[in-house]
Amino acid sequence: MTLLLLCLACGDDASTSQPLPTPPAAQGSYGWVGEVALSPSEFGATIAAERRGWTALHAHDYRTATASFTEPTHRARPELSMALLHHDLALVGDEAASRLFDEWAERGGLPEHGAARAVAALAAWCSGSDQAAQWAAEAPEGIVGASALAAIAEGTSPLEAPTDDAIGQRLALHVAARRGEVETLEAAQGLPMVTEEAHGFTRAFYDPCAHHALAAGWEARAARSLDASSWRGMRAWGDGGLSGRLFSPWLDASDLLAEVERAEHAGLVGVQGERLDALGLPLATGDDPQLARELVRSLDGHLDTWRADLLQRSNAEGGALLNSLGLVERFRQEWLVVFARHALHQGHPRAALAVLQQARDVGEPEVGPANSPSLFALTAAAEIRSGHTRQALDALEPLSRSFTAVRGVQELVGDLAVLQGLDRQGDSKESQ
Amino acid sequence: MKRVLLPLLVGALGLAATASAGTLRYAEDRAPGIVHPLFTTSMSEARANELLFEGLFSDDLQLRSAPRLAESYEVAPDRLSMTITLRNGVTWHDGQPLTADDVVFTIEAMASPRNASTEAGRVGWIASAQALDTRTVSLTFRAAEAAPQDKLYFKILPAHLFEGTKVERSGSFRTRPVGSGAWRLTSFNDDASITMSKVEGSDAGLDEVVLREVSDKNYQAKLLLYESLEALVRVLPRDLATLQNDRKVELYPYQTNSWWYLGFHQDKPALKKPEVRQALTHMVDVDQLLAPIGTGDVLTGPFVRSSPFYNHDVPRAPHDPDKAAELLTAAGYTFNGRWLGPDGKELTLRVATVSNLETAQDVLINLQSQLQSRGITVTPEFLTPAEWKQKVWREHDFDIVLSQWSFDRNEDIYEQFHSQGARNFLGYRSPEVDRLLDEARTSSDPQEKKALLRQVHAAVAADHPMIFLWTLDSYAAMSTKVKRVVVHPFYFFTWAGDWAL
Repeated sequence: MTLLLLCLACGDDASTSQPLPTPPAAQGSYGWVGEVALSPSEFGATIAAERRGWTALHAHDYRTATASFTEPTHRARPELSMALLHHDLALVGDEAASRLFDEWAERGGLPEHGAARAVAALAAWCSGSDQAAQWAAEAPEGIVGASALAAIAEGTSPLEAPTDDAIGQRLALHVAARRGEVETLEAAQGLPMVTEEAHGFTRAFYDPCAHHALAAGWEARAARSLDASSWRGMRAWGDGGLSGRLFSPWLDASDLLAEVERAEHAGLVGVQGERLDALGLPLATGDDPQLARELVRSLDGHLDTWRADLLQRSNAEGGALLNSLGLVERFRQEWLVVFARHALHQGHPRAALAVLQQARDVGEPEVGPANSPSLFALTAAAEIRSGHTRQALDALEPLSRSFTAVRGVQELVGDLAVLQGLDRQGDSKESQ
Repeated sequence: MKRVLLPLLVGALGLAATASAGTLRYAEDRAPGIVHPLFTTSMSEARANELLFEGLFSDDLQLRSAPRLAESYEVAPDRLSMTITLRNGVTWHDGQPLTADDVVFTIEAMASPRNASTEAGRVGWIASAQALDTRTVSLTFRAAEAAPQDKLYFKILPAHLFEGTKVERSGSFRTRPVGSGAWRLTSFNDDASITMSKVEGSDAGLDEVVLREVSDKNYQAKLLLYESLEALVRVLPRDLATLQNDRKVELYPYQTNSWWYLGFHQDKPALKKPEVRQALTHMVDVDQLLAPIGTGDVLTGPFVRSSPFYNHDVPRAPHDPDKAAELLTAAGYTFNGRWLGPDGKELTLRVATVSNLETAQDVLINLQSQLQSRGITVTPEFLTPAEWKQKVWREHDFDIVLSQWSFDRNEDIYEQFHSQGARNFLGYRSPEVDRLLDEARTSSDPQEKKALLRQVHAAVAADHPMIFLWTLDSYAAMSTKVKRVVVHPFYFFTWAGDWAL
């Protein structure tokens, strides 16, 4: 359907689209959403050469998009999206790992022998926790990953001290992934890093640092595609016309360029766009879910006006694109996801969660055009930070159907959810 | 047509189009037949309990145990006992003071076999309870407890309204309950609605909460959109898009780890044979049963797919009528257009479900049609809530039940699948599953517990005590007029004291 509609707008004879007499100021105020709806011919021309890539990007199918785009600056779009997804998953993993090993050790029962403390040390190291050296120092003699632990204990990178054991072999994949060779580590992340026989079962530990390495690797690839040294190379999208902003959380080139300069992280670009700022949205939600919901309602009020205005002013083709590609809804979700990521960075998980719950298209259970993978990953992070660990697994489940690499994070969060319930009395009822 | 019908429906249901300020009207598929924490079997009852009663502890917003009726507590160094001091000045809705005797009474009444409380399993770990004075309770445990406060969530009952520790299921308390929560039950109405009013002196934001039974789920969403309700506890999946697009409504995830099943009564001669149960599993087209309800995840065992205990290695039993026929033949059945048992009698199954839940009725009628066309006669039985409790829970008078379980975040299936489980009305018995469930309950290693319960999933799936059906994406819907809403992931109303209109 999506492909069909993309084709509808970009047939061989692009001249069939009639340019509309649109006031430039009004068109600009709706950013790329207005550009597509009011100038479908421009949209058609933009995607004509790389239709498969744009279709995949619209569907949040970053892997297909990366493989399909031939133009490097276009390819950098899904590459950076993959980097952000892994960054968000790293956030989930960091939250889960630090709580799991801390709470497990605190209540007693953390296995004294085996890889538990080594994995705890690695998790702390890659999340930048001060506890890394302490975990490493507490690890028993002769443990798997001993040389990596020694490096952590000494305050150096374990990536520089790889050994031939299971952890060392996995860390060698990290080194390659950080250079941009991500495929092998991505495939490995669906499998445990270390397994060991326990009392009647096989204990499995997944790599707690993989998503950090994969985020760095995909970011490196995006930077290379942009011929830049870092994610800030995305400023090149400001020169590339519609392709630099289509389906993004920033509305236009000036918003992008302004934010690339001030954002601390690529995943926060778009949150403070001037076009949105002009709407006077009540952005100061703090960690109040009620205020967060009111922010979304306020945004929806404006976007309803956009949609109505654009439908009135667009031709049949533009109107079809607006509705069938869900352009307004796409911008809405892209921006709300960035806002939620920002809220998490600010230490406001409950507000982030309220925003993400509102951002999700609940009619579509899977990752796809209506729901981005980062939406689910950030929801999981916000749930864990809000103390709702079991609910984080609900958020990760749809993601796992598209990204097998999520398995490790699922198992980690699952361990934490089970640990936190060990002393509880479970309750069950008939659902009626 | 619908525009004309809806106001008529609203009138017929007695739903005022506008409620007085401060009144939250919420819809349940089925109103509780009783409100009694000792005999709670359904989520609608549990949600009502949450408004009317309190436990010693309850979840704070981060889902950590926080004192509720308790003011403070101290666990002995050996973790074998604890002392709890109750909050001062708490009274029951009838004005009587809440004391340590009420706590002791509740524990003893729940544990007493003669009461046959459906909640007995929640106090089995307590060896004894003693009131030290009016505000102090001493509990001793059967084994060391790392965090006993995490198990003291059950609701406390007023001892003065009962004689001794005997609690009659049919006593007047079930329709005139007296609790200590922020709302009191003021009327159990003829239209199956329940009105709960804020207790004087409570700082709860809602003046009144009205539970309405709206069994036709097709109308629940319309009533919310028509502003004749302020909340729906569970939205039908097919209504989600409509409600999400309405600017006067907000959706809240409310999963409750819930799954649907067709449960076989394993003490019935026909269903005792695993081949017959397996044959029925292959005969039923689950996807076809699910389609009219909406999209959902089909399951292979007793956990939802997002559960840490879900065993993803267990394959789904395919819809395979030929295989079903093979299995029935192997079990001694013959086919002459209808399936005849070894005794020569036609295989006829009584399938029970609740009478006033339209989605379940649709599934059952669909099931009847499927099995009928394969030569098995199905007699549907649509039971009222009271009949359900009587025939299913107490008398086990059914062949197959169509129902749904909801679980809190522990997803503890012991009560459903352990041979001693209080909710095991199917009569499922497996020494291997009993052993695994016992070990899982006592394990202090999260990875071990996970592994044990994944084994339970595989073992239960192989025994076919049920046809595990599906889980649905579950959301509650709330009018935007209701402010400061945070929904508890299981009990729903735990934090309703903060809500406001």
